[in-house]
Formats: sequence, C-alpha cells, structure tokens
Amino acid sequence: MHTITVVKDWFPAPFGRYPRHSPYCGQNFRTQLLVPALNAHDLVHVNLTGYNRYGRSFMDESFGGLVRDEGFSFEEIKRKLKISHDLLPSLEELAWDRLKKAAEDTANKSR
Amino acid sequence: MNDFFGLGVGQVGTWLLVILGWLLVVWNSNRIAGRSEARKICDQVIAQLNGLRDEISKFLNESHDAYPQTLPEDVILYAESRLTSYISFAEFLSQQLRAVSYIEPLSPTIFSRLREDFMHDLELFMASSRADSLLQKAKILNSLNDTLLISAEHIEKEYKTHYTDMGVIKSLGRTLGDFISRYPRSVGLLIAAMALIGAYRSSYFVLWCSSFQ
Repeated sequence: MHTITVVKDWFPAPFGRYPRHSPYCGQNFRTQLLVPALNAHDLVHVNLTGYNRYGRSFMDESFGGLVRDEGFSFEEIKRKLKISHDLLPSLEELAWDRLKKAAEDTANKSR
Repeated sequence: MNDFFGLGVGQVGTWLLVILGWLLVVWNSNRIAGRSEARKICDQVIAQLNGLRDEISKFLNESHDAYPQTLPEDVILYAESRLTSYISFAEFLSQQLRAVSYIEPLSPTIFSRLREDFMHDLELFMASSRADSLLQKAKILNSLNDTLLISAEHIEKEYKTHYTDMGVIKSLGRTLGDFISRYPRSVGLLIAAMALIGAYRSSYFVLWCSSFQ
C-alpha cells in the first residue's frame, strides 16, 4: 500500500480548487500526486491528518475530479483508495460523498 | 490465632475502611471533575455551532451585494474559508467528548452534511437571482437551524443521561463495570487470589470463631 500524507507529501495547508487559487490546490494535488499514485499502485492511502480546514472545493477537485476528469470509475476508486483523517472522520465522509456525486453526475451526463 | 498477618481483626477492618473511604473520595472527586469537564466541552461545541450559524447568516446577508464582480466559485471559496474552521473545531471538540466523558460524540455525518450540503446550498444561493435570493436564504437558514438544534439536543440529552440523571450508586456501578471490562485479566487474577487466600484463611477463621465459644 502506498501512503500519501497530504501535509508532508503535498503542503501543510492545501487550499483552493484551481491553480489560480493556489499552487497547492485540489487540481494540482490530483494531477501531480494522486493520479500517478493510483496508476502505479494497487492500493493508495490518502492520510489527511495534520490539517483540519480542508475546504469542500479542495476535496471535490481532488477526489471528485478522479471520476469527473481522470476517467476512473467509482468502483475502481472504491477498490484502490483509502482515505482517512484521525481527528475529523467527517472529512473522509466528505471525500466519499464528492466521489459519489461525481459518479452520479458523470452517469447523468453520459445518458 | 485471632490475627490476620499480625494485625487484629478490628485493626484490619479499620484500615480496610480507611482505604475504601479514600478510594470513594478520590472516585467522587474524579466523577465531579469529569462532569464539569464534559459540561465545558458540550458548551464549547454548542458555541462553535452557534458561531457557524452567525457566520453563515452574515455571509448570506452580504454576499449578493458585496461581491458583484466576483466569480461564484471564488465567493464559495471565501465562504469555505470563513466557515470550515467552525465546523472542524466543533467536530474536534465533539470527538474529544469520547476521550473525557461517556457522551457519544455527534455523528461525523452531521459535520460532513455541514461541509457538503451547506456549501451546495450556498452555491445555489449564489446562482439565484436577487428576486429568489430571499427564498434560498430562508431555506438555507431553516435547514441549518434544524441541523444545529438536532446536534444541540443530542449533546444535551447525552449529558443528561450520563451525568444529570445518573445517581452515585449507578455511576459507581458503571465505573466498576468499566474497570472490569478494561482489565478483565487483572480482575480475574485478583478474584482468584482472594478466593485462594479466603480458602486458606477460612480454616483459621473458623478456629478463631470457635475460640469465643
């Protein structure tokens, strides 16, 4: 299992959705760190512990974008990705909610 | 014959009572300290949730007028920056309740809904025309107040169950139950040792009783 600890491997205080918001935004995190890790490993653990103010925009772009923009299926992500935060379990729920929503949106678009 | 480890029966009983008394005093002061700490954290969680409601109200009142030229996604980002710390802090405090008290923390789903649904509602609000904005605002505030009241109710109910309504005897029973479930082996060993000593001593005790006859 490959572990990405966001505050160590990415940035201590990630912020924003697009690069114009911040270089440490959700889109850059997804394209530069998350997608290569998912392509290279069977199981990827994203450890969010260490920062408590992840915004919905960052989470949506990082995780929802995997289904929306990177072509992964929800089932594939469910199999390959583990998300955790030691102190705030709602952030894990938020990430999975964004993934589900992205999967629904993608399914609706393709109909 | 009428002694236990060199002490008279009366002396042993006195020492046992003194030790038991002190254990009760320490346990009761811990219980009172734990109760006041739990109350403090409960109040802090509720204060954070109230702060969140005030901040959302402020945001809703200013957003349409204050940022006419700004992209909606940037306004949402701004809202997130203002609101996320309240949600995270409330959740963090709520999780702390589990560590310091018997109170069951608020479900992560409540906080994930606050992070998820309210931002979505705010997006709708930003996208709505000025004419519809009041209606959107009312919907957001109603839904928010519902969530916050349910959360506050849960916390108060849990506090009442575990602290206000629980008598000293019941509370002592719970502490003993916790101790046994936390250290089952140690308690088992202690009981076995006491039974062995009791069996060993019982012959002397019978003799000691018979000496009065």
